Amino acid sequence: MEDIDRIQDETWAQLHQAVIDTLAQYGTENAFGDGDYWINHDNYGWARIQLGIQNLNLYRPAIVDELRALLRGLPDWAITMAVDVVGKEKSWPLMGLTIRKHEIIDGLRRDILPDVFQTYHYADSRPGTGYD
Amino acid sequence: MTSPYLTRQLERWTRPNPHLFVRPDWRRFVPQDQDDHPLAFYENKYRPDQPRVPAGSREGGQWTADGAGSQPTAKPPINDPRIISDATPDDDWKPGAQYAQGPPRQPEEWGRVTASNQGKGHHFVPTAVVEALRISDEARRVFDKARTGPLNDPSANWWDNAHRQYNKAVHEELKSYIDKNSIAAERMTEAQARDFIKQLHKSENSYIRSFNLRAVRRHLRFLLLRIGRE
Repeated sequence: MEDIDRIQDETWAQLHQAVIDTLAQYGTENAFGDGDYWINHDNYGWARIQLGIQNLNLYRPAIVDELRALLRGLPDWAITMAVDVVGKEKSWPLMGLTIRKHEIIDGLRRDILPDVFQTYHYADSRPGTGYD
Repeated sequence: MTSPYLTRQLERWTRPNPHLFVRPDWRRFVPQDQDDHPLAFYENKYRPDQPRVPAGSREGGQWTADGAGSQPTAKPPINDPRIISDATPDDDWKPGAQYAQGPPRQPEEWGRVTASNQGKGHHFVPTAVVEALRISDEARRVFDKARTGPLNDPSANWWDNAHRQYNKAVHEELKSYIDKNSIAAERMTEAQARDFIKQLHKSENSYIRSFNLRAVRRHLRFLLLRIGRE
């Protein structure tokens, strides 16, 4: 059990840092909604990194692909990108992307999001929910 | 996969009447400062006035029934509204009794935290809040240690976005605490940080309360599943 905990710890730390470095190229982080995104810096012991996204431009397929590339060699891990736009907490349903090495769960609601999302297609994606 | 036994226990641990099934002497098994441990949430939520056996005896700190003197495991009367509202009729669990299958576990094995798990869990005071308010290093160390421990990965919506609102609520609460007590954030002491955490555990703010209770429950589930695997 100690080995599992240690491996999780090390993998989480490496992936977490890689996500920080990647997103820093595209915007600013702020934990209170005043930036482009927020990274949950708490390691709960889970095999994933959790992001809250305020700036919808970060859902551009090129950026998502870049994040997905970080999961190369980590088949059990995921990066979640929850839509977390300030002021829309109650009016918009929970939605986002779950990025895995082999697939992307696409739960972005095109009927609610800006028109540009109609053009966003992610490789190896399938429709789904935050429970998939 | 969990056994029927563990499934049953998980149901118990996540029900809203934990005073009926969390060990009444849980304080014996937690290494941190006893008063601000997350399990204190349950006491705060359900029976803040429930009498305890005074410190100094083996039963020190255990819950005791109202007016029952030093009978720490006495059950409340059957018509107690807490039981009528929450417990199922077949709930015959006895606080402190040994229900685990196999040989009894030693207290120090409960929720054993490995070296790699020490840094895991939900921080009650998020790092971003500490940085935004330029809190002193002394207080920062206290806030860094104030966390739940690892959480069970829930079958919940992975696109939940409640944490940002939690960050904001804690930021406001800590700012208010600092202002009210005329504290210079960069000189906040360890004692003041501990006091704030206690206050946070008793917060009436719904974002703070519900988020933390959820995190604590997930930590309890983690511990239970870990015990079941080892």
